[in-house]
Amino acid sequence: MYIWKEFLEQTRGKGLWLGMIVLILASLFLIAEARNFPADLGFEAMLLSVFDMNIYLLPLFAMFLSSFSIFQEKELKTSMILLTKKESHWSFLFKKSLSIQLVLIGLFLSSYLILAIFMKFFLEFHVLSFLYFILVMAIFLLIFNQLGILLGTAASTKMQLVGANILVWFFIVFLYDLMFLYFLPIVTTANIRFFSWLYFLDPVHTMRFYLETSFGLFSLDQMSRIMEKFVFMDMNVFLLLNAVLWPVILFLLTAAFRNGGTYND
Amino acid sequence: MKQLSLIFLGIFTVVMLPAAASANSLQELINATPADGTLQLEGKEYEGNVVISKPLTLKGSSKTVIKGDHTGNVIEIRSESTVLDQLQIEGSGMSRSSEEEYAGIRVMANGTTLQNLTISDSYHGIYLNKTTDTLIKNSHVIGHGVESLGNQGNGVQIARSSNNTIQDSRFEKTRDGIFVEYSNNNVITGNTMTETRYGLHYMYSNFNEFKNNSFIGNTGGAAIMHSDHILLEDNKFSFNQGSRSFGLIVQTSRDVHVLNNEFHLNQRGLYLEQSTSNTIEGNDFFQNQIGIELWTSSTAHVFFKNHFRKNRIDALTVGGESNNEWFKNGVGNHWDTPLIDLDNDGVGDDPIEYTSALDKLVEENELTYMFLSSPAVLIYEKLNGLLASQKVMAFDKYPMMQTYQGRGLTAIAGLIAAALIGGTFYFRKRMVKH
Repeated sequence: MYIWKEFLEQTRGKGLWLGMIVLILASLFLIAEARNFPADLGFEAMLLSVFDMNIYLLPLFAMFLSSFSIFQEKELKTSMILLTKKESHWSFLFKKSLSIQLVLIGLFLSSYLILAIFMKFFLEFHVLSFLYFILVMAIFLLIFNQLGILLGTAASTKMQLVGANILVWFFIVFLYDLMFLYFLPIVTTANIRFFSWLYFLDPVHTMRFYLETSFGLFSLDQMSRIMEKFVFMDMNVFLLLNAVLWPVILFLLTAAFRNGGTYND
Repeated sequence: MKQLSLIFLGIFTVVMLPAAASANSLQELINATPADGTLQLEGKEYEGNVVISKPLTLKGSSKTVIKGDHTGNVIEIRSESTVLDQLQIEGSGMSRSSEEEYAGIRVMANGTTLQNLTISDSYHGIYLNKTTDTLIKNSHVIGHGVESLGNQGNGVQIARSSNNTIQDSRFEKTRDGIFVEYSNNNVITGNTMTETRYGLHYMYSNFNEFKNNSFIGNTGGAAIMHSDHILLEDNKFSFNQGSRSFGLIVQTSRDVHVLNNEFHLNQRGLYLEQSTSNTIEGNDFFQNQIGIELWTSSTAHVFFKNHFRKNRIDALTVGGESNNEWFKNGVGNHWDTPLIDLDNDGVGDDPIEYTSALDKLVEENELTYMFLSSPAVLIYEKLNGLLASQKVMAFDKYPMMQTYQGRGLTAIAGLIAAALIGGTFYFRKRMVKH
């Protein structure tokens, strides 16, 4: 029921279609441009370009769509009806999160499948690389949808929600890395492990690095000492860690902030 | 009587068989071939290791394999004017503690031709030692992969050998694709080097030419070190990625002419260090993290007619003030910046001052390369621009107008425009109906 309801709500709204159209159009330009790439790894380089473009767009779309979906449940009092009838807060949040995740991940991934037709038309298509890309994008959406659900639950007004979405997006996309850049001069082999944890617990970093290494676009051979210490764990483990840790933490935080951070006796 | 004949036949067979086999061994066949003759081999496996001590042609077919016993060189050429054609060679010694480094083919004489060969499971593929006039063409050397770089040699190892030509060959998964030391006047054309440490590794060798080669997906594309008077023309350096990777490094070298090459999607397209008086002309730098990284230990370079497109950073000068020219005789470079050309002479009306603040970060910490693709770099550069803490990386007095047109973009733009117009009409029609 939850999934069908979510599907209808999302597909009847304009936000999802706007997001998907923007994503497809922007990707199409990158695909067309990739025809100039050298043939050997051109497909992979194009996928990485699409990912780089997605760093800007996808967190914004995922957070807005998922946060407004759950916010509407509060605003239209449908959550109250559901909660008074048969659902506990936990089961409501779980079912709502699951339905948002399934619907948004499914729909966005289907837009990548549409793009795959163009990719096949313009470039030499590599199935394995495309599957790596799809896996990473699914994890990307999983994390940012869950972040949106947290914001949608915690916010008490629409303005607050819009502000929170933009602020979080700006922090993740720009500010977090900007902090890294200013701290870089003090990173040495002595504290590299701490720095590395901070770096790879940012899902955007991990997903990009995972794609680069899986595609063969970044060599982990012949690395310097500091780089060997920096990449101290297998990239599969880092990816799995991000895919599990963040959704779980964000879900638990959502449960804690279910009433906008206030508790009613 | 019948039993007695059978016993004799048995004894004869046992005694004579090894001799018969020995008579058919490859070394025996080579020994039996007259000087300047041709030995045509069958499409089967022959046992190495063999030594060729007279001029001859050893010709195989698509299924001819010469297999070494992993103790030395599979084929050792000691005579001039030897030709090896259409052979698969494998199984040289891999020991690193032996007196010499072994190879699939070791050439120790002049005027050798090696063509249509496939060499695998060997320390070095081909080793040229103190020879001249060797021709290697249409050959393929396959190494053991980057995981065992330290335990293997190079595709072709050229030591103290001159006037050699390597053309239309492929070197993959070896330590270096082609390694050259103390060797002058070599011509290397039309080859592909991929999945190696350095596609080309060049030391103490002068007056050499590299044309139409592809360096794809190596840790480092090509490394020119301690060598002068080199021409690199129409080569492709692409996908050489890694925190320390580069398309081409020119180190401690002078009078290197880098002409009309493609540097696409590398960590660093061209890396110049401790070099002087090199000319970088007409190259295409596209979608590299850094187009040109120039350490100020490098001076008196001239950069002109180069195209910079969609690199994260077009040019980075690291380590203080530099003394290089970014134009020559009124001709500059094509930068990825909009220009005004009111007099329509193809040259921008104002000079370009390319600035960046990333040089210090790059100088201080290698991990900076991990952030070059981050959107935060744009803000970092803008912030430093506002705070006036950026440094001039390149000053081009005569920037050229961009001439590049993207293929396919027009088609896509047309497609989108058609979809938008169609969509507008459709919705207007629907609205009118309602």
